[in-house]
Amino acid sequence: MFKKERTLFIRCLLCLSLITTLLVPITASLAVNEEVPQKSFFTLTIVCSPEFGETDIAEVWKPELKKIGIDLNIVTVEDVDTLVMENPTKSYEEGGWDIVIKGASPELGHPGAVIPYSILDRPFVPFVKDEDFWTMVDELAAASDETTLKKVSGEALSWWIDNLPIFDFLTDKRAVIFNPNVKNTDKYGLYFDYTLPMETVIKAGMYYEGKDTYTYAETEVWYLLPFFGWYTCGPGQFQRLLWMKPEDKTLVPELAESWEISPDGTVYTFHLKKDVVWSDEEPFTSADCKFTFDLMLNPTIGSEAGIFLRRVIDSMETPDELTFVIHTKKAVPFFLEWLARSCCPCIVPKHTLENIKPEDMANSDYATGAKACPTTGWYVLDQMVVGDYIRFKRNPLLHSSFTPVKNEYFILKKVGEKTTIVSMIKTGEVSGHYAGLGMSADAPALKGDPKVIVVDFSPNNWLKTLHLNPNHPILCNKYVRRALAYSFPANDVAKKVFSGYGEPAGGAPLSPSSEYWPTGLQTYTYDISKAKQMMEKAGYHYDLLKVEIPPTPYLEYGGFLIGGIIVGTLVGFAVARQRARKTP
Amino acid sequence: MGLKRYIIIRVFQGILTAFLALVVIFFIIHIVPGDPVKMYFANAPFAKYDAEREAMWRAKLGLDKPIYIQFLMWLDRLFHGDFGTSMAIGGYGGLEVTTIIRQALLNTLKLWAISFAMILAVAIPTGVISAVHQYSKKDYMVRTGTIISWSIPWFWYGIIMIYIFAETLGWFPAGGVITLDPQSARFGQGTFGDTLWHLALPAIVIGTSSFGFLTRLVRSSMLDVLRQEYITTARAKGLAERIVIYKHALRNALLPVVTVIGLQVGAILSGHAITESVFGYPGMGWLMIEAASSRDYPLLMALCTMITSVIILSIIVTDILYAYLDPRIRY
Repeated sequence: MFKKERTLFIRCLLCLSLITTLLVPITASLAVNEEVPQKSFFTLTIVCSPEFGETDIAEVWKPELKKIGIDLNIVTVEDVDTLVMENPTKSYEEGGWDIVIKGASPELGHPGAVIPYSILDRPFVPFVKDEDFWTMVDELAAASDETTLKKVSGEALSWWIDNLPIFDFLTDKRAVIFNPNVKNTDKYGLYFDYTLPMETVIKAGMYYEGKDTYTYAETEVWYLLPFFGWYTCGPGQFQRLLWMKPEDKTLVPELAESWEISPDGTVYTFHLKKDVVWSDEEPFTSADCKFTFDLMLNPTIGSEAGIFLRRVIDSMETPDELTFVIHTKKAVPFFLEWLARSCCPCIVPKHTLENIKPEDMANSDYATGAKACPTTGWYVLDQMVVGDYIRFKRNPLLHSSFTPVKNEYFILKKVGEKTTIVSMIKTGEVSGHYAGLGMSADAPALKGDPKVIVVDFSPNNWLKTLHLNPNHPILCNKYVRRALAYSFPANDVAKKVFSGYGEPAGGAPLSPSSEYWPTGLQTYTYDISKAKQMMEKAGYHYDLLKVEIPPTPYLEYGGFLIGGIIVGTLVGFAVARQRARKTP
Repeated sequence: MGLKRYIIIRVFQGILTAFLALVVIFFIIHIVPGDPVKMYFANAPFAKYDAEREAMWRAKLGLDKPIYIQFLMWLDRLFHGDFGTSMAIGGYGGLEVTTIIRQALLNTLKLWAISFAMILAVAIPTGVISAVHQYSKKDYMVRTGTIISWSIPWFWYGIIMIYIFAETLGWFPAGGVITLDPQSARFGQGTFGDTLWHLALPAIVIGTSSFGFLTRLVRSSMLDVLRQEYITTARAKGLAERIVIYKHALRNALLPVVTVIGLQVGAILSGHAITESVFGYPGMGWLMIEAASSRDYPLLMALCTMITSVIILSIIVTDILYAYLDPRIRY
């Protein structure tokens, strides 16, 4: 090739390359992803605590919200509860909150889980301003027979699904990991599902063969008095008046031998077991029961059980040492079932605690473990080493009507690292661990390991919920709330965040297996098209989200022009050259 | 200046330094983001938030007062030996801080005693060998070993040790302070042997991480001493090499090592948070982390006071010893 023609050819090639380089990003930007709107209607802020995978949940949800035109800003705060309590009505922009993730324990399927009673324990429910909601609460309180209760409960649940003041999105499934030497005949042999009564747990197993000690790994070591929540105090330390068999939900005596309910359903008479003694040999009497319930009713104690009891209990009596009578304000059809719940107070000794002021109870020696509180239960506090372990010893004075535990000692061992917990289970230093939330991710990997046994525990009684600020200018619209519910990928969250340990709850604070579940009730499933429909109903129209070509560094019209001129010049030059060659 | 006067001045300086350090620590702790009362409500399993209880806690901790008043109140309690009760550990407001610290300190001292014994038993001979056989294969091996020991991430190392020696071989327990089940205790529950058995793995992890530094220190100190004229003289006198190394050289080479170990006392008291966390060992490191993350002001201030005081005291003692040993060192 001649030199000049070669140069010409190279220049043409370079210009074509330049033009192509200009065209590619322009073409790409014109290809619109129809699924993802380029603009958003508004931004919501979700306030997460650093624990329990909350930020991971938000990250999974974020792209789904983007599809329906909502931007999600994820913020982490140490003390979410206090933020909400201090700023109940303020949006995040005003220093409050838009959305928070919380756990809740409605004890799905439990007869006591009648909405809204089961949700009244939730701290944020008072922020629901809707008068219809509170009217339903009163109607439920007034329901004095099963039929009316079921009817009103069904209506309340339907209202809940319709209005979604709180979106219950996931039923937590858990796994329990324990050493193969631990003898559990079934899942009920695992103490630390705290809804299970001790008799059930003992009969199912719960003993470490060949050892005196059953050691349970905990990441936190709790309180030692049962007032403050269902997850405090040691295993079988204290007892209730009655308990419920989980398999068939029949009520079984514990400290109460029998009971009667008056025809109008407002008087409950409990006949206590004879010859029950505290571990310090003092007799157990009805005075202990009244003392305990008085404490629960005292708001200073801060008992979760007290929230419900204060609504229900009118007065109490102790006609004799073995009879305890509760008068309720109105007939409450599920009151006995509620008393058998795990969050219901266990009976504590009056003779030991009566001289402690309620406001000092939480810091007392009996709560901190400095002194052992007498119990009627299976285990008595033996030793507490701060930050290390709490050891309970078998109660030699356990009443003969109860099945004794097999291991002499039960230890709650504090182990911060989850990998260390698993190692200790494998070596047998620890008997088992309740693999909740953060631990669930390890459970699938451990299945098949001969050194551990992994039992999936379902259904669980823990729900993950989205609390939507009802006073937020956007979230106060129920169609927006429904859109959020439809956009929530519960299955993805369960899979990506909890390794499959979770099932979509559909928005209801009650299990479909509950007898209070109304027939034919539809709940929320992940559906982006329905989410968009709800947004349209809320007044957000998608045709307003125009697609804009995003600016690129290459989008310079001058580039087009210059490239065109260069190409044109070169092509013209080449043609002129060719003609010049042909011309003689 | 006489020694007595030097000591008095040094002690006075130490007290002033400690006071200034505590002022800075106090203000930093109280100024950094995070409210202890809010953390208390967030973490305590029972505590239901309400404004009245918040006000009660703020009054109890003195948080409703200006910060300089809080400091003076804390100082007053300090002089009376009252460190307060912990907000976050052992019962959320029930346990005395001194009780909590005592237990953790005991655990940490046990751990460090074992690990230090291991370190010294390995680092000193290794450093000597490396120095005596400088540039030999042994020297290179030792130096490579020190680099590796410095480089290993403690968290990973702890987990690997547990996997190999506890899970797979079953030689040691995976964590804890003593054997909790009497029947499983190979050496008797809570005995000295039982404690040693539990401390072995965490002590090895801590020892490994410190081995490199101390070995190198011994090595460089030995190399300096071996070049001294009196060592040459000792050899010229016909003394056995073993006596020259261990009786003459090592004794002098250990002086800076002892100084460094003395200055490490503060580090000892701070614990080894990562190792303690991996092995579920409730020592000072664990306690510091818990106190800081919970914004447990009483516990945090007590820990800082103790550690600051001990560090300053150890520096003063070191300075006084130096002045005693070497009269040239005076101000």
